[in-house]
Amino acid sequence: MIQIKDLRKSFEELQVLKGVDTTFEKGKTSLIIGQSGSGKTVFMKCLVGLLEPDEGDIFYDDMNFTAMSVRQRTRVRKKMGMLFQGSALFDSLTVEENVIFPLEMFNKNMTKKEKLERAHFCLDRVNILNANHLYPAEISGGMKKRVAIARAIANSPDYLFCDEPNSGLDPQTAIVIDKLISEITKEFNITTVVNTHDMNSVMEIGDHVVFLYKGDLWWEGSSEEILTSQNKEVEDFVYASELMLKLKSQ
Amino acid sequence: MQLFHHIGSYLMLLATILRRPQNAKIYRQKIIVEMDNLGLQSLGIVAIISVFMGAVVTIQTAFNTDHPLLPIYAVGFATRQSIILEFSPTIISLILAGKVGSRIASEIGTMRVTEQIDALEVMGINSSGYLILPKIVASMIVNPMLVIISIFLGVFGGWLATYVTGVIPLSHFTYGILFEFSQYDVFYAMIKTVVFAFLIASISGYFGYITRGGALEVGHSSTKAVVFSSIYIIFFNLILTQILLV
Repeated sequence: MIQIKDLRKSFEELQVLKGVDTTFEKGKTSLIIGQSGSGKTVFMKCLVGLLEPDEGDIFYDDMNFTAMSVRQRTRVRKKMGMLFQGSALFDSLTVEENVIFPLEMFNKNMTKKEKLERAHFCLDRVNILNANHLYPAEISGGMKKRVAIARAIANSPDYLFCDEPNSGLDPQTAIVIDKLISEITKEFNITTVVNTHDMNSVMEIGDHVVFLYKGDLWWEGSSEEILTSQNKEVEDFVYASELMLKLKSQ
Repeated sequence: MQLFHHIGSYLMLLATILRRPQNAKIYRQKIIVEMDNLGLQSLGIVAIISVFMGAVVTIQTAFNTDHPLLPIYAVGFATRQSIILEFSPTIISLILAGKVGSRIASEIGTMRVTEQIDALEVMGINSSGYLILPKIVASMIVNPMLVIISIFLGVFGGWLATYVTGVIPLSHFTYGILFEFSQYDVFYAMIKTVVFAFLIASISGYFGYITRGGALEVGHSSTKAVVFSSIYIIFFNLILTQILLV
C-alpha cells in the first residue's frame, strides 16, 4: 500500500502539485489521469524518488519514504518496478540481459541458472518468445513495453509504476499491455500505479482512478463512478472524444 | 558563476561516483568492457598519429638544428624527449579527449534523455557510480598502455623517417635515442597520463550525466565534454610539469 499525504512540488514560481492526498491499495491497479500539464508525471516522479517533493509524505507500507536516508531508500527501491514511457531498455544489453540485469545487481545468492530461469519465466509471462537474444533496437515498440514489464517484475516487486504505458502503441497492442499490467497486479498482489490519459485504459483496468487537475487531486473513485462523476472538469476529460459521448448518449 | 556551479556539481557527482560499488563483480566486468571500448578501439588512431608525428618531429628537428656546434645525434635525443615528455602523454590525451570524451558524454547523455538513467535509479542502483566509475578506472588503466605504445611507435616513426629520407645517419639517430635515457621521464609521462585519463573520463561523464532535453542537448554535452576535458588537460599539464620536473 502507498499512502500520500499533502504532497506539494513547485518549480520556481510554478506550483505543480498543490497538496495531493490519496492511497493506492495493494493488489489493485490505480490510475492517475488528467490533462497534459496537470502534474501526473511530476507526481509519479515524486513517488519513485526521482524528484524530491517540497512538502508532504509518501508512505510505502507505513514506512515514510520522504524521510529516509539514501541507503534506506535503496532498500525500498529494490521492491519497485517501473515501466517508462519510452520503455528505457538498456541499448547495450539483449532482451534477456535486460531482464536479468536487476537480478544480477541485487541477488548475489541466486545462481546463474536460477537467474536465467527467472528471466525466462518473466519473458514467458509477457509473451515474449524467441527474442531473448535480440537487442532493443531490433524489436517493435509493443515488444519493448513487454520486455520493460518483464524487467520491472523480475525482482518480484511490491510496487509497480507505469508511466504512459500505451503511448505510441496501436489500440490492439495497447489493450494487450493494459491487460498484462492488470493481470500481473492481481497475480503477484502488487500495488500498481499507472499514469495515463487513455480512457480505454481507465475503463479496462482502473480499479481506482485519481483525477489530477492543475496540480490538485480533483476527483477519485472507481472506473464505473467516473462516468457519472457530476464533476465538470472530470466530465470534460472523460467525454472529450466523440466515441465516449456516443456511449454516454446510449 | 556558471563555472563555479559546474565545479561544485562536478565535485558532488564525484562524491557519489566514488561510493562503494553495489556489486563489485558487475563493476569488474564493466571495467573490462570499457577497457575495450575506450582503449583498444582507440589503438588504431593512436598508432597512426604516433608513427607520423614521430617521423615529422625527427625531420623538423633535423632541419632546424643544422648547426656545427650541435651533435648530429641530438636529433634522436630531441625526438625521444619530445615524444616521451610531451607528445605521447599530452597530445595523445588530447586526441583521446576528443575521441573517448565525446563517446562517453554522448553515451551517458543518450541514456539520460531516454530515461535509462532514471530506470537505474528506480531500481535502487547508484547510476553515476555504475555508469562513470568503470569508465574512469578503465581509462586510468588503459591510457598509460596506449601512451607506452605511442612512445614506442613515435620513436619508431622517427627511426623510419631517418631510414627512408636519410636526413641524418641512422647510427647517429639510434645513438641519440639511447643517449642519457632517464626512467624518471617515463614515470613523469605515466603520472600525467593517469591524471589526464581521470579528467577525460570524469569530465565527459559529468557532462553526459547532467544532460537534459533531447538529441540537440546530447550534441551540446558531447562538445562541452571535449572542450572542457581539453582545457583541463592543458591546465593540469602545466601544473604537473611544474611539480614533477622542476
